[in-house]
Amino acid sequence: MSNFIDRLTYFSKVKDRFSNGHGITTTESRDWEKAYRGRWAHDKIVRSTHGVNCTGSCSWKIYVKNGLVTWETQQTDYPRTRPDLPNHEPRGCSRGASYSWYLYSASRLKFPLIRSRLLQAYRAAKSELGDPVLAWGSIVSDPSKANEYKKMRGLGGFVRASWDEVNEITAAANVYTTKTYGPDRVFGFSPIPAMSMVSYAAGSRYLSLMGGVCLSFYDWYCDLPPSSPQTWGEQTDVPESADWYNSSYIIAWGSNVPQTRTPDAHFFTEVRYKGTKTVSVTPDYSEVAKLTDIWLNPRQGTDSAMAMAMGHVVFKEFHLGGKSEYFTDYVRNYSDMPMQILLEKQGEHYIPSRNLRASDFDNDLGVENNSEWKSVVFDESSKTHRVPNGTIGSRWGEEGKWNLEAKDSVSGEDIWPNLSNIDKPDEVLDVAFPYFGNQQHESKIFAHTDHESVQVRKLPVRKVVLKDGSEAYVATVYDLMAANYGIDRGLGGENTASDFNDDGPYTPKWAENITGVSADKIIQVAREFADNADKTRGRSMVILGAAINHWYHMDMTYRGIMNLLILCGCIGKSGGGWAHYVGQEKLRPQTGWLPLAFGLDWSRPPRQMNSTSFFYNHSNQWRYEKLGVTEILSPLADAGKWQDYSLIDCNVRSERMGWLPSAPQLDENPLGLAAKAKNAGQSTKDYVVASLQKGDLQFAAEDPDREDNFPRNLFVWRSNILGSSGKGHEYMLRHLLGAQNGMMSDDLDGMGADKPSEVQWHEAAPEGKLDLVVTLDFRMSTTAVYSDIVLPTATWYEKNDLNTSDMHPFIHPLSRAVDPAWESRSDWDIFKGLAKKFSELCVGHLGVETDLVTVPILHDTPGELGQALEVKDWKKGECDPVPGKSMPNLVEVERDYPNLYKKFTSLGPLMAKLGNGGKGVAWNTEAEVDLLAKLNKTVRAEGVSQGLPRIESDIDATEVVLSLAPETNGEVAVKAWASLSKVTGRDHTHLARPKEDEKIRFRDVQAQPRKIISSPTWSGLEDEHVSYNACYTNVHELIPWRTLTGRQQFYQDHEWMRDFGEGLCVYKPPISTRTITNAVKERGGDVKQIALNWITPHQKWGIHSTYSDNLLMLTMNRGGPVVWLSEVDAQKVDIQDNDWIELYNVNGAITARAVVSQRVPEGMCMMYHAQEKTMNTPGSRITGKRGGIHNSVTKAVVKPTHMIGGYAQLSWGFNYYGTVGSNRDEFVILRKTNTVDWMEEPYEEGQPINMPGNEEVGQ
Amino acid sequence: MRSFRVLAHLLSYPQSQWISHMDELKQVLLEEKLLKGRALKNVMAFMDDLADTDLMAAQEIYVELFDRGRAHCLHLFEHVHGESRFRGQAMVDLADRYKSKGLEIGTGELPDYLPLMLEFISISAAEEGLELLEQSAPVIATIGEKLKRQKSGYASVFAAIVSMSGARLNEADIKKAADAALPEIKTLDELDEQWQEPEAFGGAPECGTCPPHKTPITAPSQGGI
Repeated sequence: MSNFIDRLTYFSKVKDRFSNGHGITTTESRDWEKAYRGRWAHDKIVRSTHGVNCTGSCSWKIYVKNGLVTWETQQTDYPRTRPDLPNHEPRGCSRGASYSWYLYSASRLKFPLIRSRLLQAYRAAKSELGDPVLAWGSIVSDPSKANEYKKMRGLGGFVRASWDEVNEITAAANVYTTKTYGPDRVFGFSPIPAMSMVSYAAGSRYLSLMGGVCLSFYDWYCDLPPSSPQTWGEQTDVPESADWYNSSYIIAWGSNVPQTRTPDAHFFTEVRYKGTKTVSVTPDYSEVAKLTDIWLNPRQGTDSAMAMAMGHVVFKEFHLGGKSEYFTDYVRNYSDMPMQILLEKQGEHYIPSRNLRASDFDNDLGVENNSEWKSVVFDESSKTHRVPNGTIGSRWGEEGKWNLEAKDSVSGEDIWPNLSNIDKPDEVLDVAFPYFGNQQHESKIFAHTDHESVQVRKLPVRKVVLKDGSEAYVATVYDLMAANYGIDRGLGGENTASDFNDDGPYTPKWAENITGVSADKIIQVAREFADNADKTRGRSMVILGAAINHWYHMDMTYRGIMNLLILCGCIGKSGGGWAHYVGQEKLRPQTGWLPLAFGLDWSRPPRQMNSTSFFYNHSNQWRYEKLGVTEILSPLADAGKWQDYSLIDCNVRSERMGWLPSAPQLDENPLGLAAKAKNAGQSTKDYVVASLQKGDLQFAAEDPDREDNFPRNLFVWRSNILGSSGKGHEYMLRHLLGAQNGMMSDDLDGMGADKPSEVQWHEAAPEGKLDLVVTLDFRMSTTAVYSDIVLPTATWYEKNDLNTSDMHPFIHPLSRAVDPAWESRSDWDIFKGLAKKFSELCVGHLGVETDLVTVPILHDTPGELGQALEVKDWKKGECDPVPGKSMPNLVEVERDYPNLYKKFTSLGPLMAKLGNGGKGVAWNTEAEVDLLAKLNKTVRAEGVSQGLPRIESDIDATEVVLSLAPETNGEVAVKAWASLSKVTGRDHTHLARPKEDEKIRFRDVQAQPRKIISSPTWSGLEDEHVSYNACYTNVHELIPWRTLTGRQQFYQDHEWMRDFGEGLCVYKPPISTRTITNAVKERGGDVKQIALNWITPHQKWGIHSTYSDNLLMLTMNRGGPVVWLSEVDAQKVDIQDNDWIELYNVNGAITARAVVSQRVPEGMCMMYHAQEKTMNTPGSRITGKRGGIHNSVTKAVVKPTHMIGGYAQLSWGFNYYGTVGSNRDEFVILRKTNTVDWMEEPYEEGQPINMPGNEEVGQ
Repeated sequence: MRSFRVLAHLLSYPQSQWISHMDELKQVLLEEKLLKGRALKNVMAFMDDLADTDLMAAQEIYVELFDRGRAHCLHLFEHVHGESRFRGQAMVDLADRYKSKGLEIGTGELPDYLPLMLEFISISAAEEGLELLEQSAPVIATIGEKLKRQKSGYASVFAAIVSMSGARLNEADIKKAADAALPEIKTLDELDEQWQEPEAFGGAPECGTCPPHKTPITAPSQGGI
């Protein structure tokens, strides 16, 4: 038979080999492929980002499968830029790429936790008393009961509790505190709203409706450069990173771009392919140093010396040398260089005094409005004094003259302000300038010179006749600057240099002696920088970072650099200017967000407090102050005037005069004052003023250690204040928390120092002032460990929110990719829940109350015209107490406590009634309120909120922000510009017209990041043709800077500025903190030890403390806390790489491992800041407690010039101005440790809270 | 298999609603006889202890042991996959397995939560349930060993699970794994050894996903357990 039937007709057999044997067919199971196939199979991909702290604001794809996040990758759909400009993506870095680890990690907080001792006490009290508020009161008013749980802070002992119960306890505490002590004793701390603004707003809205206090962060972090408000009247405004690509000369000064601006660093490298030269300035061989063409390495903390020397070169060659017409025109029109400064006779010589004002002249130069606030120039064409357009006096009380046109504001004539009197001086006078570079530092690593403290130089001046007929001398800022830089102008006399190699302040040779950088290099970089700026009309840029801002005298460094930029006409120019990217992170739709965040739709003004002064005062850091005011005073100031003042005294004066805010406010409950006034038959305002004057009423700051004046409740959310930014960590543990601490400092008594004159001294300082600390977080951070109640929040992939940055012009969302895991809830839902509980529990305790809010004199309000010519303190009888003028304003606010929840969840009536605005510009918002009523629907339930737009969900809240903000609603942008146009007299609406119909909504930004719309809230443009750059509209639209003169200010004429020698920029060496005493050295025993400067930069494997407990990031570093030191220093004390070391001073102690590296120069050690003490941190031999965080060895030291207020740009604003928490002047003792104690044994009752005093150790 | 449900309760957060039923729970163990000998005795002793301990003290201990940190984390993939990207997919696979039996997780817990797995086993056919358990036994035993060293009564529950799983484990391996995760370090040299970084490409097949330190157990690095 044939095999015919076996042959198939239609089928052929599958070949087991094909493609010449390269392919093979098998029947084995292919299950192993599942993992790879499954990896790319998802139910959905959701857009989100990483919420707080990180400036990157990078859009990410979150992959979700079966309701679980499986991983994340970078989004690559940012809108394109334009031809010849690289695109923004890919954005994102290793830190963000590891975020999903947090969601399901063992370190995730899963349930509400509460300290068991507190819960027990509460349950017992409640079963006895029934009422939660009374129950809370019975615990905290009994010191033995309260101490029982307070002393356990930081020592574990948590149990889970239900949301109901923790809400009840928290709300009860808030009600009790509000009722007993006042709402201004309830505080909240949360940073950087830009990165998840609704989550921030949730807590701040709850607090603001209650009358509680929101604490600032930017100044406390010391990321705020006060020099920016001083110079520009602007908190911080910077170019987007894409603008680096437009620059042709970039200096990265103290900013480690590739490490800390990872997603933006590509612009920095790309621009080099265009031929742009790059320079880095860092004391250590940092990552950015490796990337640039030139590396300059000044000794840390001496950068201002180098900046001054560069300014010396530029001023001499380009201004006095007449090399650049562009520069001269720029400073004439855009800076205060032509302003006339009065000279005051002091002994043999003169000293610069305040700006000459219209009010100094007969008939006020024809000025009718605000003549004391109008600075004067000398017009070259008419040879007369004129008040130019654009001074602060023209900003308020009149319209149409607040612009930078070169015109006389009275007559409208064109003027040409004179810059210098050098050609035809009336006289040449001896004028004295202060010099600080001769101060000897306690450590030898900071060099000093032997030049005189008073530097007298020749100055060309003019004579003027004043109102009263007397004669006075005036000089221009231009001539003062030349003299201040120590440049010889052929006028004879001493203390000026004709050669860069002369040794005198501030020549390059002089700077070489201070900084260690050769004069040649300084001259070269200064020349190249200026030459480039001249040729490109301002395309030279400085990227500057926290590294140089965290010093006590940071203003001098920053102003030194700003001066350089203004001298070279770089500010407001595409590809030019300053680029400070630290901390503020730019909340772009700010004016839309403010009403939501601070409850401005229901009541105004909110209570806000500057954190640095708050913590300095209320965590008692002032009790241990070692820096005297007279130490930092100018040699030209009247020392007698300041003799009795300590730093805390200055702060108290400032609060009293309405310069800085106060919270807790007064030494009485602000809810009771209205009733008392009524009884006395007075208005509340009059009653309070009279009581203050009589001394019946005091500011709480004057007696912070009196029980009534304690801060009582603290909320911390989106923050790790105790594990990261809390300067003086151990002081906070001791005095605010009453927890175990490693503080070893004597107080003023122990040091035998003078007590403050304005603050009541108590023999024993209170410990454990806070009754309740509530922290919201998704991980058990160091702060959570010290809290009483820990609430689990949704992570950044589990909530809806908005995110913007200063690094790019887009707005994009955080989205709820999955439901919050376990029992966690979004911040919005948590505070909403608390609001509800508060409204329930307050009934019977609080009703509709009248609160009295003390409001400091605020920047960008008409009130910023406070005391024009002199500083007068009402309490000393130097002037009358006038609220809003010589003291804080006193404003009554109605609080409807039982309706707090209803108010929280609806948009209040004030938006339609009073409108909205920001930075001194106001507009009507009725149309937007209507829009929101349609978008969010209105409240139907009866009550105060009936008929108002709803704000139930986090998405509702985002729509409020987006609808009200000019940046996301084109119609509002046009209104805002129109409103500003009225003030300036110039039409600016063309900047927003093309986008008038654009309305960005939440779902839009979920689809793709959206570019925001230009608004007068910001000084740059969101334009299709230029990249965003700060001060662009000042220069191109002639909108004045929001300063005294309306121009960029080289000169600061406020009395306190002059007294502290900062009228003009000078070099000031680091301060001596005196934290290494013999007593503390003795505690170290006889192990070899070395004192090193304490530097705390941003790290590579974390964003502050976030990610620093992430296993992936820990693995890339060394798995725990490390401190870097130089090979030379390591050798001196027998330390090898990876040895365990201990670092300490009187503030506290740290344990870590040593990284011995050539990167680090001799004399400093570096600890990347905010490494958690919960991660692999052993005990300290010195303290017997667990090693601390980087702030365990620091203490806040406040600076009087930052307390100035009520004076144009030097007026307070939340996160805008105020004292800052610097920490890099600190020194630590470093030594090897031979034993490691992980301290795993359980708590034993009766362990001491505090360290033994120095005397006890000595015995 | 109801004994597994008893153990699931014992490993959940101490709450009066189930602690008050301790006698019933004991009864199940005694009746079912899945657990025998010393393992049974130890669990019974632990149950007595737990019932006698002040509730809040028991809760405090539980939070300290299981709600914080990695060492005793009851989510088993923490120990298997740690920070690896495979963790998400592994959870998805495990959830699918429950779903194939018609079960959904109703409480917001994750699929690799040990008490939840025990509950699943308690309603599975013996063979299938034990297979799942046998695979996870090394991880469970390691956690148990760590608890034993801390003298925690919870160790008895883990020993009970391992004994009921029928898995045959090498005791030395488990001790080694517990050592690696929770080393008893006496000298700095030992500490240095512990902190030694492994070679970046030390022959591990899936570099970038392998745990940095010595892996506590020889666990599969992908797929379900």
